[in-house]
Amino acid sequence: MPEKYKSIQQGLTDYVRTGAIIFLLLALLFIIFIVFSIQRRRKMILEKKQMEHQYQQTLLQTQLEIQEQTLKNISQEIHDNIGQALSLAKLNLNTMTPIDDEMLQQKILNSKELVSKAIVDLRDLSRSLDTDYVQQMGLQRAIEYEVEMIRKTGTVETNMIVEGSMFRLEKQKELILFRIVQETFNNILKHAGAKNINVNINYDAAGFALIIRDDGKGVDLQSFNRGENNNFGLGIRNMHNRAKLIGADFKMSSMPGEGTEVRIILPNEPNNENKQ
Amino acid sequence: MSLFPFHIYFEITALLACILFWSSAKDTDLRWFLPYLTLIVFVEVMGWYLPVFLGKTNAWLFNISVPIEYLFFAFIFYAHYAKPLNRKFALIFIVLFSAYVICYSLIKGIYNFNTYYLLIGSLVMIILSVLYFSEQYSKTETGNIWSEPMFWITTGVFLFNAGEFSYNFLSEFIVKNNLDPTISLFRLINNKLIILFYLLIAIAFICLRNTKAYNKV
Repeated sequence: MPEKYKSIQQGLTDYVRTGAIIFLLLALLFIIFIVFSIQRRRKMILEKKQMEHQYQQTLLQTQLEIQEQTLKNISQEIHDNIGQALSLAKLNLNTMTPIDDEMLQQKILNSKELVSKAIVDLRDLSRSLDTDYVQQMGLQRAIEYEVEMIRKTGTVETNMIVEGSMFRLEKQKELILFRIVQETFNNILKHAGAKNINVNINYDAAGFALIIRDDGKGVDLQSFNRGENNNFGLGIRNMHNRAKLIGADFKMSSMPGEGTEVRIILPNEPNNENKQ
Repeated sequence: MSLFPFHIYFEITALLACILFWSSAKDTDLRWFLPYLTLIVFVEVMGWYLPVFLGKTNAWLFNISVPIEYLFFAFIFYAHYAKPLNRKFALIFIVLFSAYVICYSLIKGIYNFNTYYLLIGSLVMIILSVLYFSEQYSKTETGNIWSEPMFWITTGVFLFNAGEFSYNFLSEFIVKNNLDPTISLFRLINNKLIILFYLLIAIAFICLRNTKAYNKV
């Protein structure tokens, strides 16, 4: 075999062998890169799916809780206001005597007022029977209605201030925010022993802000942070998690004897379709 | 002393893995691997037996089996692609390549090995593998890629053909100039890549163990 042929053959062998190794390594690097990219992407998709699932679950839970709270309110309203008004009206009618005209007229007048009050209360109540009322009337109106209901109980003075020009938020966000408000009011009525509740709503370019203050006995948040008073802590954590889920900032500040303030800030992301 | 060349044992291993996990594979596209691997083992054994024991050429055997291999994997990709465009590409290759193989065999016969089969085939296999990986990347499913049989098969196809590409690229030149008369260079690369390839195919079948609902054509 000629020397020249042999050297060409050897050169070719080296060339092909090196080429094979280089191509193989490049292919291997490509596979490693693609596998890590796919794994990372799949992990992200999984996390996104889990978050979406959690969001839907929370939304469903929120709707159920609102329904439950609504039914409780209705029951209380019927018992405390409508029931009492109608009982009084019935009492008036039972004790009417045709002897004293002036008294008779007064009792008829009273009964008319009581029946009218019962009708107004029933009308208010029927509105809240629609479980989608938060979505229909909007967050602000729903909070106003809730505040009005509390005021009507006569145990607490309420005050609501709205600043800025109102815009609607995404329906799901409104629902979750409303549930947080409902839970806050519940806590105040159950535990705070407050005389006044102030609600402040602010709409501006930065977003939506809601502040609820009461002058009740307050709460020791340090003990809550230490994990004591678990039931109460769970409620606050729940509110905090829900706010986080819709991208809102939830802050609660309180000192024993100095009332409590709940502050929720949702950065602006107005829903153009619902913008008013 | 070993009965067969070392790489044939890995092809037999892949065939055994296919048989072992047949109950899981039989309802999937991977069922086609059973006849394919049987054929490959037969071809490799015959390809080794003919020149060694009978002193006859085996070129005709590989002229038949090599195109079948490429067509088989093109079909497997075709069956697993989700994107219609990718399926179309695989199908076009199957049709055109089959036509080319038939025409070439009829015109030139099958006794001289056609190196263009290797060049065209390996190039298209690399493209088909990349298309499969790109599809996997854009998928919204969240399963673990390591447990997907098709991932291992594609990895095998990709590495095998990428490793062979430099030889296949020059194969026409090498054969024309008789630079590898004993095909020792080809064997050097090919046999090692076969080991890697069929090991990955065997892993693909092992993955079937936990994959009950694998897609079906």
